[in-house]
Amino acid sequence: MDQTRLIERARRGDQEAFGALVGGHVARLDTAARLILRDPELARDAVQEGMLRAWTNLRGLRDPGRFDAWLNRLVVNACLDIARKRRGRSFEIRLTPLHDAPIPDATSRVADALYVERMLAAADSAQRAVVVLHFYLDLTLPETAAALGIPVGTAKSRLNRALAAMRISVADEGELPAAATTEERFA
Amino acid sequence: MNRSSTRPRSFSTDQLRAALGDVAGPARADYLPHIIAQAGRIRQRPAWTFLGGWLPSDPEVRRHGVPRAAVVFATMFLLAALLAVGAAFVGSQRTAPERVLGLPATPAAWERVLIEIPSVTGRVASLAVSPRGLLAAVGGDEPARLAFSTDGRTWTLVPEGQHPRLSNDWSFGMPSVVGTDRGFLMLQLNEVWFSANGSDWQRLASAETDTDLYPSGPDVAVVGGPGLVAVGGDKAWYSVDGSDWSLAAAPGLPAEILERPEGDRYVAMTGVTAAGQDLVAWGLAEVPFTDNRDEHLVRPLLWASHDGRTWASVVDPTMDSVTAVTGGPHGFVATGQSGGDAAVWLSADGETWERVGDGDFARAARLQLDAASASAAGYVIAATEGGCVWYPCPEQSVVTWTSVDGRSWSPVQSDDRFTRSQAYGSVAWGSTFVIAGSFDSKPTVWISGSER
Repeated sequence: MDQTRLIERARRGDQEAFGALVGGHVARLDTAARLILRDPELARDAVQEGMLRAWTNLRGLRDPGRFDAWLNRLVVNACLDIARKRRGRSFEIRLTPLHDAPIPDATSRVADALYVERMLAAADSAQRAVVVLHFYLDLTLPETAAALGIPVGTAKSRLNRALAAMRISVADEGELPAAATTEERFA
Repeated sequence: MNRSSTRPRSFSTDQLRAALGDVAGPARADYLPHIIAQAGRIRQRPAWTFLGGWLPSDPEVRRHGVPRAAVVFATMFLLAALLAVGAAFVGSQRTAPERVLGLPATPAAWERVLIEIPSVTGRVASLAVSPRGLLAAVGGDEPARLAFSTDGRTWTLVPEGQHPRLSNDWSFGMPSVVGTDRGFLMLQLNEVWFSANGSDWQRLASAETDTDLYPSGPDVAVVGGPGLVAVGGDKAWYSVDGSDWSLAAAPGLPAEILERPEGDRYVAMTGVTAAGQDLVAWGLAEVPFTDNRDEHLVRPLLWASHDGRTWASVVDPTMDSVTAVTGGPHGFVATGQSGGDAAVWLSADGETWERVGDGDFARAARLQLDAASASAAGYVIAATEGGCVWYPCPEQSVVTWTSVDGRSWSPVQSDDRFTRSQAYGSVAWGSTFVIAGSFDSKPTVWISGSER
């Protein structure tokens, strides 16, 4: 069944249809939430919260074609909400022993993961969110901006700041688009 | 970790994507059944944007087989009739509080009023007073709504089609509303809107036509200076009538903020208030600590002006933060934090400040002074007491203080009407005070003058 039909059924209160609608997104968004929050339990809370917001507000979704972007936005916002509410408290980051391990081979995939994990800690949650949306969920910059509810120009500068904080340069990242106009912000 | 010793490393997008996937570990989707089960216990919100979109899904309508067109027509007729009756009723009402009262010194003087919105949860983020009544910017997770009241106790949502689409706490922040003697202003997203009655809105200025509003515009404004004075980010503006804005000469940022990269800085002038010819603007500057980016160094920003065109920086070493300022009969009162405690300062001109009420605001629980307002009778401060991790924050409550002279403060004993609540702002409306906030995560105001 296509997504539009599933949305129509879910809007009428069909939980099975809602399960089919979001089921394919859970693993992907759970991974994204873990990268943003750096805590698997908080990530699970964020995904649940985002998906329940989707269920609650599904009838208000005007364009079913934007369901995926809308769901991304709800889950990422749930992540940022959790991070914001925990700010000022001692942040319970789960550090793994890999943090202090020497990098054995700078060209290996393991070394890449070790480096990225270490550098994610140097970025704040909002910066991690833009990196995860753009590079992990593979959203374009306008899609990333839409998911975060920020102008494209802000997403671009936040992404650059995040990469700088993480001491990462991306060799094949294309030319980033210009800032959005006022009308584009809510598009 | 010493970040400065780490050399940047180059990745391809594929390499970075793979590394992020490896860091996150194996995918989990095993809790989908739990999400579905929870969804079954939660009622979906109606799509209020179009009647036809939600009426047919009402089980009662389906059961009795009432034709959709008939239901829509009947509902629209009923709404039109209700609007007509409402308009006639509103027109017959006085729009100012009737009784002249002193300061609300007891909990019984306050009435809690919830403002109902389609998304149910949210907060009253901004309140404004004009001769027509009160206007509130209400919302939170969903696009904000405007609510209007002639008495502070009965609120009517302004139809969404009558104002621009509003931002919310998730995206660009809630809009702010300002009261003038001619009506209301609303500021959001580099734009300034005006309404005489709170209901019908027209755009007065935007970044598209006013270069001084680009790339960032004002967040809040007040009547003062040459007409209107506004602040936002690290800038200040002035305008005669709200249609043409000019940048004011504003002070630079503190050195410890300026020395950090621009991308790390967060600067927000969050408020501006007036008393006679004097103006005070306040806010904060924030940068992440170099060794822990989840924690931030915060510095208060306080500016003073006599005309709204030129501002001077005020540095008071006793202030760790400034959260609200109001002008009243004995000068300006500022609230904030000092030495880890809630604190209040008094100033005749906005330039020289004296800490007052020492000890009156010491509490065992965390106390955040959020709002201050003043009438001819004196001042009211509203605060949120208690910690919060997850909303609706049952441990938090709103507490208030009153002062005739801004110097000696008396706490108002709290009761049930202030529990499970947060305060975000307050205004004086004649002799009545109105606090903006939330109760049980629902938009709420507390209005004084209930005591006879």
